[in-house]
Amino acid sequence: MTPRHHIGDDLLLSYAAGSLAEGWSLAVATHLAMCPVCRERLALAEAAGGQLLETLDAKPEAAPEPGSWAAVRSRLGDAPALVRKQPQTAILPSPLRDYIGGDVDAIKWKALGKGAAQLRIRTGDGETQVRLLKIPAGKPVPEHSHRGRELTLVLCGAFDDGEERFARGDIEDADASVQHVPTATKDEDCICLAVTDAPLRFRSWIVRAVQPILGI
Amino acid sequence: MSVDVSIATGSWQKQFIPLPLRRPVVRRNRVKSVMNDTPTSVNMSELLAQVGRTRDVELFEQVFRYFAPRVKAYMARTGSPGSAEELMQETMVAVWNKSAMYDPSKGAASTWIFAIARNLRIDAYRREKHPEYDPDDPAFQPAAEPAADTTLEAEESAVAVRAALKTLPADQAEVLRLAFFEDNSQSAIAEALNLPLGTVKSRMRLAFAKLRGVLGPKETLE
Repeated sequence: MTPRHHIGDDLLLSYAAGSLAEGWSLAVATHLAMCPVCRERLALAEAAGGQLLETLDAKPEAAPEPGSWAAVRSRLGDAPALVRKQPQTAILPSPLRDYIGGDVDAIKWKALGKGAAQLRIRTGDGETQVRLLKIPAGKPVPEHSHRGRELTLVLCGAFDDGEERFARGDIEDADASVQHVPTATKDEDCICLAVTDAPLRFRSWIVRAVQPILGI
Repeated sequence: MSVDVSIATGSWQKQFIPLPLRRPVVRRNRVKSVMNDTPTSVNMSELLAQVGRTRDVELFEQVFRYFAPRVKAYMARTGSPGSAEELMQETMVAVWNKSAMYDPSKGAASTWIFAIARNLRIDAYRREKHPEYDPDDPAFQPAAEPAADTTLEAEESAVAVRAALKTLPADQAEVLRLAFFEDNSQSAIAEALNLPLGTVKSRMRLAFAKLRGVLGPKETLE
């Protein structure tokens, strides 16, 4: 099934430009693996990159050195085999498996209480916080707003947020103005990839007090 | 030079193999050392596809002569001339190594080379990864129907994209330039232009909507 909730144009364009931080890019790439519609949009954004590249003014000081071609030519041999081993089946798309070192069964969950759990994913960008979240069937994520943007990508199960349902491959893009209560659907635990650019701000002071301890 | 190309097979190859047979053979008029006297971008896509099939170094030299100055200029926007030269050479060697995977029905040569250059730049200058999907991934969701782009030749759509880029209002073009060439995040662009972040995002969205328009009516996203 093709996702119904997609990546915003600005994120997709920044991803194509190569100027999107790694954490956001991981959510974008994982969605792209599951979404043919957004892959077509990406192709368009990259075509813009190609056209910008073609029309780039080459300044004299940026001209290739006289020996460039000879240097490159001396390195043109047989193409290395680019075989990439893929498993027979997978639930998590490959961009995410690369970070976890395996599929869903390899996730080393850390309990958050009441059946919820998380796994932090490290990136090199220094500006995002990336984690996998497991929300038990029928349970809400604690009500929260954020200081910045939050992308939530559904990998297993589904959640409802207000009137909207988010299922596998769907991405929810929430900014600081959104005060929301995503709730996992009753039939199945929901696993999501959540990317934020600032720690979540929980509404309840009790949750806020334990937030540094739980590391969420 | 003819080399046996044994590269991982993927969904691209099913479309890749029959296509070149329908394409005209590219004239092998070698371009001498004059940089500006290069073939046009349109036959670059055919040339690159042919390099992928034949592993012909002389054909690849034409691709090199056309793209090397552009790739180096791209790299020089965010780094020193020395590292730009090195990254340009890395990019062009990668283009050679991966050329059998280039599928001209999916996009212009410039699009494909841009993506390779971009990834090498991120790797070198930011020390971050650029996560990407893999069509051979079992979790990959293939398109139900052939991509809409096949109705419009990839080259035609590249020309249309170029035309659309020329008609962008200056403020949108500037935001695109900063994102694509100066390696600026959205918030860095906002800071550089002294604009609210929301304005940068909306300029990007407007620019993208304009690009989408050139390819005709597409799925509208909610």
